[in-house]
Amino acid sequence: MRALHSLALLLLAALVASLLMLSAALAHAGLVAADPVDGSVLPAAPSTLTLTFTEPVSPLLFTLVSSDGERRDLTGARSENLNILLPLPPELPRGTHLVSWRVTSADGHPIAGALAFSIGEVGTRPTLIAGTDPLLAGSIWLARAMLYALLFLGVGTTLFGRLVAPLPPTLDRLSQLFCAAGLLLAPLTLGLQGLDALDSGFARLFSAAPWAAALSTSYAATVAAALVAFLASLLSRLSPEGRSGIMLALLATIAAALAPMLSGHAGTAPPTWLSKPAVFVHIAGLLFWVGALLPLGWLLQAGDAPALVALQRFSRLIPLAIVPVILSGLVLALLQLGPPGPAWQSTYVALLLTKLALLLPLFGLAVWNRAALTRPTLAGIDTARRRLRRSIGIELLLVLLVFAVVAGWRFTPPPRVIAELAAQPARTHVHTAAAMADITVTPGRAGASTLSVWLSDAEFGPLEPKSLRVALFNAGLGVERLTRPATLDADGFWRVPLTLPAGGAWSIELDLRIDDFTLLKLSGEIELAP
Amino acid sequence: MIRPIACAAMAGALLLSVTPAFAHVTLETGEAPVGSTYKAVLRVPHGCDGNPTTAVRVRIPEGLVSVKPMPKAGWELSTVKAPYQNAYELHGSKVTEGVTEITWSGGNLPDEFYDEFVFRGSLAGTLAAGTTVYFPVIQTCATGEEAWIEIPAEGQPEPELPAPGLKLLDATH
Repeated sequence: MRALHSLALLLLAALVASLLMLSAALAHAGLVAADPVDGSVLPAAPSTLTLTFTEPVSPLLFTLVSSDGERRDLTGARSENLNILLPLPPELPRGTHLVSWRVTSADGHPIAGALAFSIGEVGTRPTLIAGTDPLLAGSIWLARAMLYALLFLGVGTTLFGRLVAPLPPTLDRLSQLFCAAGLLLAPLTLGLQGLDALDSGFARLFSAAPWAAALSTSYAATVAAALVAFLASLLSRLSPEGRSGIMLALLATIAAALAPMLSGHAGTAPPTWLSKPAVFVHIAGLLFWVGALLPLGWLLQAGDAPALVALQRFSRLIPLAIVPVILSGLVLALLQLGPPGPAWQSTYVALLLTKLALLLPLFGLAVWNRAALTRPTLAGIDTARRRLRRSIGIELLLVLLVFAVVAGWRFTPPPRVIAELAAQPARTHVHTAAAMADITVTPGRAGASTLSVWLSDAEFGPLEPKSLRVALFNAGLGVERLTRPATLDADGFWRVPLTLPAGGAWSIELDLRIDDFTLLKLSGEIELAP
Repeated sequence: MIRPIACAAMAGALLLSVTPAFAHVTLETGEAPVGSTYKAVLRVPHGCDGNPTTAVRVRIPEGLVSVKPMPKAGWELSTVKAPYQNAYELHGSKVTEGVTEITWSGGNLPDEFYDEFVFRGSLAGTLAAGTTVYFPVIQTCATGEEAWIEIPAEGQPEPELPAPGLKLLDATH
């Protein structure tokens, strides 16, 4: 018994350690700015590439395809506040270069992008084949869904066994099997995360790099908490009747509820003082509820006394779990959705609606079970008991489908992040043999915004036209030219207020009145969020 | 032999079909041989958004030398003289400077009416036949202005306010 106590303490320490692995909890990040700007033309090779994000990120992988077609991985990137500083190799040749970048944000999800810049002259933009392998994405999704299922079925049933009623021996063995499978699967999901982080194929799963990369993401803390949960569940069997058994089952539940809180979108939504406890309460309540479904169904095969006692205790306790689950679920959904807007038309919301569509019948069944079936079953009516069993079976099925849907969130930024990115400026660079312009639209989306222009001549010298007119049009949308005069501000930027009806690729034209009789035209394109 | 003729006919048809829209400030004579004397008649078809025209300024392109504007009743005439970029031979003497800008101002041409502004000059023999020279025009009105200064570019849609152009032809002997 002493040994079990110290084991429990050890697991608790491991859990605390996994909590400490967390850096400051922050949201899913997005790229805000880059220096040099994508598409820019520079007089000389830059020594550093600076990427600025909405949140601090950690560097993962950087690849340079230079104008001569040579491809190399860049090392030495470091993060500094919201920036990633990437030293570029000296003596880059003239022409257009492409840098592909991959970083990880606080929620553990890798984000990637590419940008091109030219030195001296514009060449053809080098290409880089990129994008997550669908097989890898599918594996990550399946492993996630299975890990959720194992957490609820392994840790949840263990909790039921300790708190509500002892598990029948066969089910207890099954529950242990779930926990053991979880112990194996959790590290595997870490390896998959590492592969995704490095954007590499399955073959590298057996090398150290993806594991090291994954350990540097916040997902490592989630895996550590899941391991503690599975291990504590198994150990709680050593003292089925004693206090240490209950303690270990509770520890397992706490660890299992912490696991999704430590990484992922939900636990990183600001304000985290609200989102983190909400995730914890949501998962803990669900562990109790979902964990009870399998044992209840199992026990209700017979209408004997132990089954009825278990049902009675469960139906007394379940409101304590369901009400917090619903409330915390609402809080999380509201935090993730952000204010209503075009960002709601995203995959994330589609998944949320699918989840709600599954939850409605699930809650319907739960209410029916409790209001209409529990009492007759306790009274010993066999038809009610059989109906209750079937209903619990369907509930279990629906829950597994919910896990499959929820695992899909791994691949979609929540609307709050989409909206935040849309509020960031959109930029473009246009140039001719005579002049260059850096154009910024703030915020870079449809609606009211400000367009600002920095002008220079082809030698990066000052260029001060008498006046500047900006024209925008969108052939794709059938929007004709909107022409506005820009005004020169004291800081040297030309600015013009805009109200654009929609996002997408807008053609932009600048008319520079160099002197009374000389007009210089610059034209390009700028991409705006909806 | 048929081919070049057909091409020329097509080019001619094309030229006719793109005769400047009446609504633009244009030159009455759109082409002239290099080395000849050119009489430019600048046609101003309308004011600026309904406002009457009060001044017309034209920038003389390099290569049109010895420019003299024709005075116009009701308008004050002034010119800007400046050195040319190149020196030109004219009737045996060397010309290095002359009128580069003409302004008719202080007039009143209502939007409903049409008027013409005339000047003449010599097209230097050294100009390249086959090219087009442009005469950017600024039309000043009681309110606002229209700047006919945009040079049409190959492959681009016709500008909203194109500068009047003069196509240079081979010298006639």
